[in-house]
Amino acid sequence: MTDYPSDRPSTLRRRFLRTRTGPLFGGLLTLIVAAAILAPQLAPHDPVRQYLDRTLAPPGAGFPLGTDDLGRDLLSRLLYGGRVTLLAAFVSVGVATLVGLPVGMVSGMLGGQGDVWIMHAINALLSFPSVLLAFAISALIGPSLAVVVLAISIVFAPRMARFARGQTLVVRETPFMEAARAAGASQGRLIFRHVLPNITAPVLVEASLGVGYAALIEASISFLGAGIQPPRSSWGLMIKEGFGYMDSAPWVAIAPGAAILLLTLSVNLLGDAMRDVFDPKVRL
Amino acid sequence: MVLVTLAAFMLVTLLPGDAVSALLAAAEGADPRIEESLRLQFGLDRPFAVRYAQWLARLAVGDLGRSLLSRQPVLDTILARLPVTIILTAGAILLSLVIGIPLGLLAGVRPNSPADRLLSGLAALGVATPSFWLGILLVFVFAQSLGWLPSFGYRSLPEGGLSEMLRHMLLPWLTLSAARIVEVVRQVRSGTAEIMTQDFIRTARAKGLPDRLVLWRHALKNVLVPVITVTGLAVGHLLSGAVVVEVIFLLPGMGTLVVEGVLQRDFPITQGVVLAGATATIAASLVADVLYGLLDPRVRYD
Amino acid sequence: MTGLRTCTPRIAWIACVLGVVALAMLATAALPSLASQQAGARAVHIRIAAVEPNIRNYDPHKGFSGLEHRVLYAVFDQLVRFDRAGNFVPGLAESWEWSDPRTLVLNLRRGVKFHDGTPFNAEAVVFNFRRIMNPEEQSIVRGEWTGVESVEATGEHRVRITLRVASAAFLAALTDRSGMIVSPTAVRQMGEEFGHRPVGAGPFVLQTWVPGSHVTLVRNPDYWEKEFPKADRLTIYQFKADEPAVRGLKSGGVDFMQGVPSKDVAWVKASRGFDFVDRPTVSSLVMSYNLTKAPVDDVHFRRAIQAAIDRRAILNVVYGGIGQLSASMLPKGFWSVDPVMLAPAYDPARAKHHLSQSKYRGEKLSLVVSPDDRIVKSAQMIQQFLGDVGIPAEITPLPGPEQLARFFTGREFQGRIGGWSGRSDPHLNYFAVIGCGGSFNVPRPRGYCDPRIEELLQQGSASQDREVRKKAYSALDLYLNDQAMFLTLLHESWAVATRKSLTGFVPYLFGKPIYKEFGLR
Repeated sequence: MTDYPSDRPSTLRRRFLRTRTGPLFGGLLTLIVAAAILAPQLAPHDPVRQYLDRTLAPPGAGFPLGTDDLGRDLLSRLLYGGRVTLLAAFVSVGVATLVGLPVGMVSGMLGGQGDVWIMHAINALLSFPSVLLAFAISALIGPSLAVVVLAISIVFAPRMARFARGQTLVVRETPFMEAARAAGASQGRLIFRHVLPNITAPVLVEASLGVGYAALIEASISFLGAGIQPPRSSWGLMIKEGFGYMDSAPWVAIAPGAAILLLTLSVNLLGDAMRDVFDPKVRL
Repeated sequence: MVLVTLAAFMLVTLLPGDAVSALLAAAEGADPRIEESLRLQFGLDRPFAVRYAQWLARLAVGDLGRSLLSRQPVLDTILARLPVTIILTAGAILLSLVIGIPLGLLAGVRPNSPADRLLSGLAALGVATPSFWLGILLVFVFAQSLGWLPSFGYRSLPEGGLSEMLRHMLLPWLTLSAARIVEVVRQVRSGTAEIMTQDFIRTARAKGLPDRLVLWRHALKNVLVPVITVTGLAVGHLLSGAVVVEVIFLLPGMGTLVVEGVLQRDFPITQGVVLAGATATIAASLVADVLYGLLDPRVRYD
Repeated sequence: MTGLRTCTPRIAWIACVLGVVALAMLATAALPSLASQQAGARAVHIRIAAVEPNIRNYDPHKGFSGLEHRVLYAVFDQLVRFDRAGNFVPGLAESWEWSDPRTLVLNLRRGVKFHDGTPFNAEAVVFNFRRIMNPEEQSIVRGEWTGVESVEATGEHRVRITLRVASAAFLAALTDRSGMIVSPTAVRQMGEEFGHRPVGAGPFVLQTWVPGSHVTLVRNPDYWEKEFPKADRLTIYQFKADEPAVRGLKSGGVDFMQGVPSKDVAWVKASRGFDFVDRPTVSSLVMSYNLTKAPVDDVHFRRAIQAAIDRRAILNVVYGGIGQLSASMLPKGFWSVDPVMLAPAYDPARAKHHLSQSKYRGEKLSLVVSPDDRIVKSAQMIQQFLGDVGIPAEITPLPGPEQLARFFTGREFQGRIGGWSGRSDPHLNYFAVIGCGGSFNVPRPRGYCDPRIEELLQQGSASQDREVRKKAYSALDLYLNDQAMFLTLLHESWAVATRKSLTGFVPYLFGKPIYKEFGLR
């Protein structure tokens, strides 16, 4: 990250397109997100409508992915559930970044005692096992989408803060910063004009990896019984509900399982590709 | 560490639905007199800082309070559940190293070989798979369909002997270690690949030393050190995973304890386990630091 | 291994240890379990899969959930028991007599000891009774004792109970929690911890209980019924949900499971190892209300709900048709149930008609739901049925303790969809959920009191003549159905998977397994 100023956008685009995984998984992720956003337009049925005479129908006409044990259309549930899962993952990582990024940058620029104390606090928060923390917060407050988002944000914010601080420290030592400081730029100006633009790329990469992890945490706390509550659904909850039918009606569990796998796979690999683009030297 | 205790305390005290109303729920009605006396007993009339100080003081002498449900000391309960979680986590760490290091070497020695590509693909899948998904899948295959291994339960050494214990632990270990194996493979692979390009390895190879020997003598040492360090740092992740795995396999460890505690609003238990988890995470990173120092003579603590 | 020797010592050491441990791990894991097979030949060990989430304690006087009974019956003996036909038979009380309609004298069994070695006698029984009656102890069954004037020991093995009003049903209470006798010494010693390390005089001793995991029961060698228990050791695996329990069953790890989900019944029937038992029980899926809150305080609104719910559909979709619909709180075949009474019919048009007569103006109905797989599914169906007639309902799954705190105290929610595990005597059932002062009548502790219900309950419990009682309870069922105050949606089946070699399982109507009778061929 020491090459500063950064590469031009056109170079980056070229590099991105050169990676094989980048465009592929970027496209996939776009598809997933678009499907979730357009759920009301795409879904053939109301996701909570029970067709009681069509329970556990296999994929076919009328129900492209089949129905679950209460006769609800799985495709519609998958689309609407995707909204919940994606919302939980993206919003919580977004909130965590909004909180963690400034804290990390300030801590990194501040140095000295302030930095030491902020880092102590961050390390303290980081020492709590993440799923356990998210599960406890979510269950104790009472499960709802907002609470799940809050819980995952609390888990992620310190992670992001630590990452941002590390990046800030690197940027702080560059000759360019020295020059700006010598020219009398204020701390605020330094942070906004110089640090922020330079750590945006790695922070984006970190955040995209975080989205995959957040989706997994959402699934885990749903599995433990403290996530989104029925009749709403998320992919995690759908997997949990579907597992009982693994031998008799496997499609109920396979569709949400595949969806979550594709989501995490695409954000992870996209993150990797982006890292390669921004920092070509690391690539092996 | 002080901040850890503060956070653990806040987790439980600042959330709605405090201990007294949970206790009262089980009691006949809500007699204001009883409610008041309970609030006094729990000291809820005093300010936060005072309560925190008192809680800390008790903590210092090993008093984590008593479970609201069983009324037994939290510390005793945690200690009774600890061995299972330790066996689960330690086994998973061992497994991840034993499986991950050779695979990582295999992939790293010849980057971009078919084996390497296969492993990278598997690794990407491994990271993207929720652990409970994997766990239930393993149960489905090995316990239900093939009938080789039990799907749940725990046998301690005195109960069933070593083989019974291992039979019951194998699937939990595999489930918990899967994500770690992927991490270890990635790390060893990139470490090995980097080292293979370096001059002293090229020299060694040029001198005609067989690949295997080169690997053992030079590469492994340089790769192992960061792996062990990172493993120490991953204990927090493993403990998170252990919660889920214990629930899947009904293991009587701290994971099932805390899930039960949270769902039943047993605040002292929740507080205690969360604190224990954080402490273990910190302790593990300290151990990792020390190991790092031992393995890498360049690091000295003075 | 030659490569290892060439490494630096530190690395080699670590690698060696890792390798050896790993090899040992894998090798032994693959070996068949010889040790346990040898041990198994000597002792009869039965493994039970139970879906028992959120058990709070095993103190018979202080628990909450009907799921606790399975273990309570094993650890504690009751004073009075039921036989298969539902008649009272002696338990720890060898005999009893009503010296007048208000005075019950119990003659206790001699030579019985608690698990801690202390003697079972009149003093111990009186201690138990006073413990329940003491308001400070906050016993869950105190409601059953509000009609008791006094209890006293009139001899070493004789106890006299004086009632304020004649109540034949009081004897029934002694077959349940109220009649389970705890060791006074253990209670005094352990105080609040007793619920976690219970000591009774029952056929099994509770050896370990790891909440969220399992309970281990071992034979009580001094049990007074010499032929029981048949098993030496019983492990009850307490699963949180149906799924993992079923997987335990299918992988052959257990010998008995009650409440097999309908989708797995075919597997059980086809399997070589297990039999499936489908018999009715008193345990049911119910919908109850906080009758003091709008809009459910309005009988027209409640009638609308009653007519809007298709109970047959719930039974078929969620329970696979395994179970029973009944017009009563108790299943058909139970002695108090009028077999010709008709269950409330599903009629959405009628529901809309009732709704138009009510004061209801479309506000959200807020229901708490037990977080059990089948109950949550049933609740989602009910949500749709209500929505279809114009009642938007919101369902909130909450574990038992939260339900107690937020619904049963009357603080939140207008109704509940949950399980009712059922009691052995009609009075205990009706009184608990709708009687004035019943443990589950909302809002606690007094609940919603209806003079007509009190009158019928009184009629039902005053006499010992079953025909007289049956008349009263039939009238009560009619009244409850007409007022739509308490909806019994369906009665569950035993739905048991039992290993073919398991002996002694009897599907009592009571619906709770009696573990002491379990053995292995």
